Amino acid sequence: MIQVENLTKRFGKRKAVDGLSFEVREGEILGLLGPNGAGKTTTMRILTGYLSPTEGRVQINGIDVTKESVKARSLLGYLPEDVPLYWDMTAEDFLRFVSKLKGIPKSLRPKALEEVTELCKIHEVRKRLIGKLSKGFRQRVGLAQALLGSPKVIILDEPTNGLDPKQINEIRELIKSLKGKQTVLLSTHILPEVSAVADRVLIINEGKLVAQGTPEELGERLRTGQEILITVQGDIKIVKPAIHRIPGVISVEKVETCGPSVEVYKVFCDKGQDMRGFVARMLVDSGFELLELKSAAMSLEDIFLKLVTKEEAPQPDTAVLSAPEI
Amino acid sequence: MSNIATILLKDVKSYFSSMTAYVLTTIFLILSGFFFSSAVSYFSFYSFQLSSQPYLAQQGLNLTEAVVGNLFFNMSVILLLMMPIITMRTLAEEQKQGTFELLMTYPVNESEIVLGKFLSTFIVFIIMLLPTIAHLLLLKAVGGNFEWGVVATSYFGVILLGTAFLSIGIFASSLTENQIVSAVIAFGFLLILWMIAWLNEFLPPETSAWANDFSLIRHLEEFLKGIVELKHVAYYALFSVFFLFLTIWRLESRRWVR
Repeated sequence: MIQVENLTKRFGKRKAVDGLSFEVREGEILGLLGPNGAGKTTTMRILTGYLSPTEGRVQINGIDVTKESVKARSLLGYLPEDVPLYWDMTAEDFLRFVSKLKGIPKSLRPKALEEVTELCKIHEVRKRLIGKLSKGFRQRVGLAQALLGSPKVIILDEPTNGLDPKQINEIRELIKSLKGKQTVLLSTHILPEVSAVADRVLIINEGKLVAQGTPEELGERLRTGQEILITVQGDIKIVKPAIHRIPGVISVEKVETCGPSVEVYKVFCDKGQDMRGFVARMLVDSGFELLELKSAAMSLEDIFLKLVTKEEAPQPDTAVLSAPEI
Repeated sequence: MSNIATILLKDVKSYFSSMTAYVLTTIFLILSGFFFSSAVSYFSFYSFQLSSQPYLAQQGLNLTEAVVGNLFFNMSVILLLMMPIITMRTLAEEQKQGTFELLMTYPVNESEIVLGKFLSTFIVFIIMLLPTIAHLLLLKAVGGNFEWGVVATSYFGVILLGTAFLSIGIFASSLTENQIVSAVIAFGFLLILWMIAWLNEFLPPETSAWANDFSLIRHLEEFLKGIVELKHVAYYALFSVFFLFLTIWRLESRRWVR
């Protein structure tokens, strides 16, 4: 339903989005997870045609959002991050205004309005000025305008931001109820949110795609712990099984070849302790030429840490070993 | 088309629900009423004096020029001050509240938004201007002798002038998120284009003609005398169209940046 290919957006020298490619399938709820400033909002603004990408392209239902912006937008419902609304209008007037701009035929408007009012539970406040509503209700009015006219694709930027736990739950239930009917892309920096709502998660950091999968898969990867990159000289047929035999190593995959029989491997280790020293010792003891060893840059865990605590994660350190440490 | 109407209606409603339209209309009528009544009292004072001089009394004074012309000229000065207040909100507020982004996610063009905004301010302007006809009806009722034709061309001229004011105001509003800044930019710009004609007194004739051509107010003078000339109509029309285009470009420009 949504195809994003090699999307890049530069603001001056800074790359807000950097070569992002992903796909959202019809009827699925996809969570875009990333710390603040990861490029989620910029990505969404490009998806809705508000900004132009520096490179790459975005298609919604096969329509290029840059070239045929208006046509693509007619398939979209979008809730921007800070829920901008006209505070001097009543909820009902506002939704009627939106239904006209969305081009819903006059005869269908009352029904469409009633549907979203029902769905978002804003019936009781529909005659009140939006500016006088509580944050929770404003959020629902914002959601209602996005859902109005049952667009094929719904894009929600931090839809539960600033709500209390009860309201958050209600909004999440509402989003879950859309599953299968509409395609939903939502962004958040809160980890439990995606596991609660999304079918699939994309984790982005500094504009780049870091990982993707179902919440369970990502959780599994997180539990499995450490990722180490090692460069070893030797025949791959011997080296690879040897690494795998090291206790605590779960899987080994070759990343690249960087010389005659010099290979870089990515090693997933059990969680618990830092495995770098142990792996290095084991390799050297087995008689392999260990050229380099470092932890994989910005592991999933580091990003999760950033998500939850919103703190700067420690920089990934590099340990280049020429001799084993004893 | 329907998108323009939708935005127009929403904005006009908001002008009236927020009292802005009422306050502006009231102040405008009080000020124009003040200038009008002082013009009338001046006129009656001089007429009275002249009546003691038989020759001049026979000729009489020209009520159309002295009172009607004066009224419309004063109205355009008041408009110069008030129009930036009508337009300051239009796009600045949308950009500040983020509702512009919201609007842009609906299948709506920038040009439709700008035209909708422009027409809504135009309607508020007309609603503000219309009651001034009461001044003239009153003058007629007490036996004033003036030409309705001149009144019609004067209204036409003032409406054209007001349209030019509005287009600059909307452009200024697209430049900033701050309403006050928007109003100040619009006011400064209007004042410069107004005063440019004053340069006449210092400039050599070749350049002063140029200054005259650009001046917003000089083009109004003919209308107040009852003359409608194509070049003056074209000046105001082109002026407005030019600034509305600039506004549309300004809003679209965010998507040019790659």
